[in-house]
Amino acid sequence: MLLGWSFALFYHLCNGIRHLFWDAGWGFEIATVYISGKVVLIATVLLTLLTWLLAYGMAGAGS
Amino acid sequence: MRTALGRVRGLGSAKEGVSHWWAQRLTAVALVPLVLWFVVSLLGFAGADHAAIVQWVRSPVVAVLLVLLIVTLLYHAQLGMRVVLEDYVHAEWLKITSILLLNFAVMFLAAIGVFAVLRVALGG
Repeated sequence: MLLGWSFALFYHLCNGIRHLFWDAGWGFEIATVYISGKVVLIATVLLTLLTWLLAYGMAGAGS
Repeated sequence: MRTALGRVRGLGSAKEGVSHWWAQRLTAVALVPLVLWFVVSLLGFAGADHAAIVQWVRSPVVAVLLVLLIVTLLYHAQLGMRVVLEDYVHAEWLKITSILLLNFAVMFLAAIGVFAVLRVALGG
């Protein structure tokens, strides 16, 4: 469940930043929209993986 | 946040909403560092025990940031959910009821969350 939640959190975070860029007026060209969309997905996967790897790393060292 | 002209002419179908739009952006910007700080902080506690986290919450900086996180997060969530309900619930009575329940739930969660943080942070 935590994996699903953390993925949703990071996806919401990355896409939210993408929305804030749109609010500032940047990135409306169709090609850019697709690129930023893919960046968001990749960033989400990376952040989720990083978080979980670090968590297991810390837990291993702590306990 | 509306312009005087906008207020007089009642522009737009909804007639108002800029303050909502701005509050959503404001809370979003505030939440980026707050959430990242929270996730990174929690990472450090993987494998740690209950006493360690209690010590962490006791720190004044941490307690204040946690309260800010809870309030900002719930406000941001309420703003977003409210728009979803306004847009997608079509029966007027159901729309009003669900938005009312949303507001109550958010207030309730905020109260519980802030109380919990303060109790750990200030308790003996």
